[in-house]
Amino acid sequence: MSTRDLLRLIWANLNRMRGRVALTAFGVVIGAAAVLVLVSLGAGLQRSAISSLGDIGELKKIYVMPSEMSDIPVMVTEPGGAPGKQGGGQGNKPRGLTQQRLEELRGVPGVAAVIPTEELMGGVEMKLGRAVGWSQIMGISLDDMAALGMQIVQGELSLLSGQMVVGARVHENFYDPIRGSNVPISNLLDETIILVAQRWSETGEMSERTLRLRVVGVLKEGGQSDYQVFIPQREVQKLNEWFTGKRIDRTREGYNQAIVVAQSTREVAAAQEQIRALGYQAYSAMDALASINSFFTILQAVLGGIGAIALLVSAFGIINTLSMAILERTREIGLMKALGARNRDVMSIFLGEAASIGLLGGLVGAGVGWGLSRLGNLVALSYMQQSGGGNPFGPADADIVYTPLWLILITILFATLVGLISGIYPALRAATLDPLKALKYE
Amino acid sequence: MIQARGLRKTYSMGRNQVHALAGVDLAVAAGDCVAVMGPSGSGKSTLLNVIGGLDRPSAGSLQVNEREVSQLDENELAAYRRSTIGFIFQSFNLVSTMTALQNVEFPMMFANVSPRQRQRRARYLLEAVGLKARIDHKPTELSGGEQQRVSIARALSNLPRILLADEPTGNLDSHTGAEIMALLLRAQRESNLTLLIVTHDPAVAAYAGRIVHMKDGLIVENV
Repeated sequence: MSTRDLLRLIWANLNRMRGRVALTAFGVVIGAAAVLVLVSLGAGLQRSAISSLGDIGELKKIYVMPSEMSDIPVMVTEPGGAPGKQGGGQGNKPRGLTQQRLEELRGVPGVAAVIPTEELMGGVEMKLGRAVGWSQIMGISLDDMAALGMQIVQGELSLLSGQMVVGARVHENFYDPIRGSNVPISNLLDETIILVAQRWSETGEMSERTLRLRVVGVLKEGGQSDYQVFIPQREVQKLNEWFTGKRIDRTREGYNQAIVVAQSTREVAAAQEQIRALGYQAYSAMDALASINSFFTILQAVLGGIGAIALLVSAFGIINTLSMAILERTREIGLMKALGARNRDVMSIFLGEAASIGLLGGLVGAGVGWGLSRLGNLVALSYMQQSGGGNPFGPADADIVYTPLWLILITILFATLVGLISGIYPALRAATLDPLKALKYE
Repeated sequence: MIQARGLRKTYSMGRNQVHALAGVDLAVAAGDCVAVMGPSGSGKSTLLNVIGGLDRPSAGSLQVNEREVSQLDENELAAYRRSTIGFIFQSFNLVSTMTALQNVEFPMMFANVSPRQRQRRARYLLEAVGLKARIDHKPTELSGGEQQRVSIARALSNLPRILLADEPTGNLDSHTGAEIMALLLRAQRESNLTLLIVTHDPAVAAYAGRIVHMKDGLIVENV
């Protein structure tokens, strides 16, 4: 029997009992839609959680520090009682990331760029009119900002003396110190911000030093840089020299932090591993990504399993419908055998009918599920906007429910498979009917 | 063509053993037309079903075209029914949802005949049995005689060597029955088929060149 004939026969048979086929397929529709919606919810939450880690550029970054730098300096008290020397006893070995060490990092396979950053060693406040703000202030060169893939949405990417570039959400962190309330600032571009550095002398006297910088660019949203402020590296170095009261020579002492950019997100894990093996501390958003992914894989399996229960129930509907069909068509089965149909032919016809009911239910169910997902998004989004919260798991306007194409295909395939498996028992029964008894069946 | 030796078929009905065939010896030459007569329960239908490969003998040998039919497995038996045998039933057994044309095409589907060839052959056969104008009618729209004509066309579709007719006129009036018998004999002569007819009706049996009488699962008279 050719596939074309088989399909034609299956179609004719389904058409013959279309009322019952529709009712049976409706069970599959519910199951398939449930699977699709629930797994879409899991996938949407996963996507939100991942996007909160930052964009693809952020995921390629590895933050590297020399492991000694993170040791909290402690006063080591000798057993004799006299205060000992400070530090972990690394001697006079330079602690920072020297040029040589940066080269070592650049040699790690999968590394695209290594960017040393200068972090402030003391407290710095930002002042804008009456408002006071705080931010992580990073010293960086213009070339390195480009290497980090930083993109400007307002102004320009420039970092001359007296200029600064701010992250997308820095403006949210200004408050009024007298009233203690937030100061809404819509846009920082072209504003002049005064950085106020404070230090205390050993006698407890405070002195201040100020630095006026104009905001020339605002970065695109996404990732750790959202709350950071970037100023010329030299300015940070000058402030640090003022904080510590001594000259800093980075070529000799090295930097205390570097950002390693991997060639692709796939290289991150291996590169991070290698960097740690070299004796550095290394962190990346991929650390969080791995645990987020494993959590959501479990969540999706659980949600999908709940939906699959509905599909399982519909399987019994298919078995029932086909068993009835076999009773009604017993004589016809006997006739087919008398006309020379093999058991395999009879089996294929009934398996095909079962799979078709599954496919039909899967197609409609995927459509319904997709529609429900869209609807759910609209409802959730408008609700969250009303309550002012936004998506708690990620960017404010991100979809809560996300249906990837593969999920639609898998759902349809799965529903068809459920139909096919449900057909095995009825089809076997039909195929093994005794032709003579079947022909005489009333 | 057909060579049965000591053919037995035993059914168990509860505790009783029913010997539908109690050792049948029968030889039918190619191109013969044989009527099998006998009272109800004499085993004539069972004999026909065993020869047609719908039922397996309990003992004995059945050779068709020098092939031992009782030794065939399920698939070989299906192939045997498909290529060697054409069945004609008392109650026609047409598929009610299919047109006359589709009913005649149906067995050719299982023989993997191409759709075009299938349709051409089905049209030709329906024309030959005098149903050219009724090709697209469903069985419910056809008279008994017309339905039996469709089933004769269907039986001939896969070019069988043996036609097996179980009471082919049983559901028809005598005039239509005579027409159907004439048609069957014409088909048998034209293609040199071996024809076995099971019947109660002496008038039907009279068409056959040879009449076999059965009683209690045995052939009692072979004329």
